[in-house]
Amino acid sequence: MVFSSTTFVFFFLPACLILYLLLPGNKAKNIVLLLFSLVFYAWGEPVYVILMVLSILMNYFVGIFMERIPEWRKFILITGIVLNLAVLGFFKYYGMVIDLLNGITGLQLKAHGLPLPIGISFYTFQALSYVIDLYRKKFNVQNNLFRFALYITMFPQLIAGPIVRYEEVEKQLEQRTVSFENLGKGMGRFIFGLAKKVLLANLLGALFERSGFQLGTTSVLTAWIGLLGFGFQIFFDFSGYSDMAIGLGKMFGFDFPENFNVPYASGSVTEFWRRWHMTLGTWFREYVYIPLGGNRVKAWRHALNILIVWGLTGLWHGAAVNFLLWGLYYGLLLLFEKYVIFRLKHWPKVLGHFLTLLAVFLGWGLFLSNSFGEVASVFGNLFGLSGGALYDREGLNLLLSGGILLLFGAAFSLPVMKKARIWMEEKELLLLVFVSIALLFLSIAFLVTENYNPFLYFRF
Amino acid sequence: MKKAKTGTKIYIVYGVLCLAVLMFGGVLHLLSPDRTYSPTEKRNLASAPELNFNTLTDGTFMSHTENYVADQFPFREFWMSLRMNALYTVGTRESKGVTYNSDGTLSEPYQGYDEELLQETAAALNGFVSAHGFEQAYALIVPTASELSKEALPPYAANESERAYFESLSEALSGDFRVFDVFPTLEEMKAEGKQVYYRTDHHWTTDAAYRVFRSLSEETGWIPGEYTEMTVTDRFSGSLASKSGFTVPRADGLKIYRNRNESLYSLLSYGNDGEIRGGFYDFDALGADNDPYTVFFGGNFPLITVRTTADTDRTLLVFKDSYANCFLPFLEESYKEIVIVDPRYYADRAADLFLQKNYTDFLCLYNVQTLSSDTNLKMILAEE
Repeated sequence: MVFSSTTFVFFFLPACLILYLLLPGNKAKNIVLLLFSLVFYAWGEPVYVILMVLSILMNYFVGIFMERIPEWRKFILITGIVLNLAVLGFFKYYGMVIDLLNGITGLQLKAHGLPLPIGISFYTFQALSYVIDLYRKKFNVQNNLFRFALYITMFPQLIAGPIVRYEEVEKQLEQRTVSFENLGKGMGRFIFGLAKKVLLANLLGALFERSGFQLGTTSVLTAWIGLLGFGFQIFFDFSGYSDMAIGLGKMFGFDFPENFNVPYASGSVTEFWRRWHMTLGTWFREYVYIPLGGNRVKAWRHALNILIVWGLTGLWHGAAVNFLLWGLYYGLLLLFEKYVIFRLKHWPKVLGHFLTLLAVFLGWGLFLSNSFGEVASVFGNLFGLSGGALYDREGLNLLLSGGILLLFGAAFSLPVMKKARIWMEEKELLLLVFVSIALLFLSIAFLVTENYNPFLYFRF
Repeated sequence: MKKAKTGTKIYIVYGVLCLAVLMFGGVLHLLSPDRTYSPTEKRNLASAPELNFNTLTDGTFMSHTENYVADQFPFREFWMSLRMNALYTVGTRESKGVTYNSDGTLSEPYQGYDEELLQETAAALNGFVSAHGFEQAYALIVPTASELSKEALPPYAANESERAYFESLSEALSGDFRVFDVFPTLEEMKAEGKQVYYRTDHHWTTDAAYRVFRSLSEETGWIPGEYTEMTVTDRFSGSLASKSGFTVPRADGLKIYRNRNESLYSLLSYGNDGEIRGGFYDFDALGADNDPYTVFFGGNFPLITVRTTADTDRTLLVFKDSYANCFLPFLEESYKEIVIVDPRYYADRAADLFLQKNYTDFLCLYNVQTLSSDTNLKMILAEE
């Protein structure tokens, strides 16, 4: 199931909330939430829900064994990590590996083409955070299977994050503030996220699709409109979904970590990755970068660490070479910033901001391409190398019909918008209520009628 | 402190209010009866999903439920128009290939044609006509609204020339064909301020069809006749409105022309053994939940055979698209028999039309856009 559907908003969510709020006691509430979360997941994956249940059981027992057999802790940890990665690797990367092998060796091995279970990248990473941090003795083992299952499956963050590390919610599983006040706060946040997704992301995505600049030859104008459309789509899509997740969590009394912090206002690529998909960056830092030595090593080793982490970050986004390249692209940029740019004395902020946006959006060009042919089309069109004109009728048409939307996209990416939301939440509540009801209304209009409703980070 | 308490109270009220709204929406949805058909969108609406082990495990129950909940949402038309108004406000003037023009009309801008398909269609027509030896073979290829209103189209909308297609096709058709250039006639009609095309539908108006008919009657020998005009509905919302979701300020009226000749009567038989109907008009089409344009012939059918009481021996074979539907009734007095074939639906062989029959005249009646992308016509004509 997805949050941006009438089924979720008008049936699933109210039913869950009513039961949750009515039943007394934390235990009952946890059970309600767990059951609804399983239904939520099974709705989208009626068969692979079993895989997730097995993953939960496996990680639960890894924790239990680590506790009960302390002499074998390290071995159990490694087993747990390997099993989790094996499952993720098999379902996600098997096809890619086979294709690479075929390409290198000329064999014709068949890739079984398994469909990717929804959310597997997210819940596997969450399970890993539990297992690894348990080993590091950051908390005690979770003896209650149902509480552990709730941690993994909680539907607000199950399918698309934020990636919630176990230590962030450990206490909340047992004790949290469930109140109508939190219900209201959560609703406000949820509706903002819904509006971002349905009003901004979907429409900007349609602009990108219309441009078709990754497919054939287009004018430079068309290409840049398409690229901007995609760049804004993915931001509003993903940050909107995170807003909805955080809002939903709040309705149930949970405080989830923020995932986006006005990333398009960044003055450097380094800063960008501290503002975009923050929980993923934190995860990689905690569980890969720091164990590798982080930056407390010689420069060459540090560079290697960065490249490994960013290669993996790229691959996490998708099992294809373009994602790997996208990750490495950022790894190289980050190294360049650290060892070259940041050593310069004078670095005008505006230039930094502009170059960062340029780097990020060109990065999206790599991200959105599904093949080398598409990469060639994308960059050929963007820089006028593929024979397209500077502008043409199609591009002007797109500009006229999508220009205002792009302006909205840019406006809502500004820091002032986030400040406005927080200001409304804290000071001008009546205005917040009014704005959010209006947004809900408008969002319903699009939910009811729009068939084009993809979620880009869905298959990760 | 006080501010905090007020804030808390507002959040509480707001939370409960939102939950109540969502609950209310769900309950309202459950209580409202299901609709089977949407007249505004001209499609069937999703029905309640089937629940069994199979549909659960392959996920079809879930996707059907989602479609069902969206399709049967209460006040669907209201939400749709809210959405279109919002899109219009941010500059959307084109939706699903339909443009919202500055003169408050909808049309489909012409995207151009494939030269090879044009040549193949012409060749098929030429071959067909020379093989069957008609006394007259007519080609009536009609432009659509966007051709005549290029200045009203949104800026930078596609605006390939339909005339270019027409001229290319005319050249490719053999000397057997009388090709009618009705572009000037329609442009003249438009210049007079008359309505040539519907504002919400891709068809030409009955008035336009009549105008063209009259302009050709001398050349063809068709009997002009005398007619009474009747507006059968003044709230016609046509195909382009349904397709795009745009609503225009002024609705369309739909007219039919009744021949005043009392002794003139027609029997229509549908298909080979199908229904028999008296007259060209299906007035059930004007009921609620129906597409009013199907008042002509009841819609598009693979094969319709019209037998008239006209005092003539001439017979006509027509290959057409829906533009012919409002035009062909004008030929009632000029032919004893009219056989109407719609290649999009006709599944038999063209040769079957000539069993025990011959035709004096042949007519190919299409609008430019449909013909320039149609592959069915050449397929049916070309087979031996």
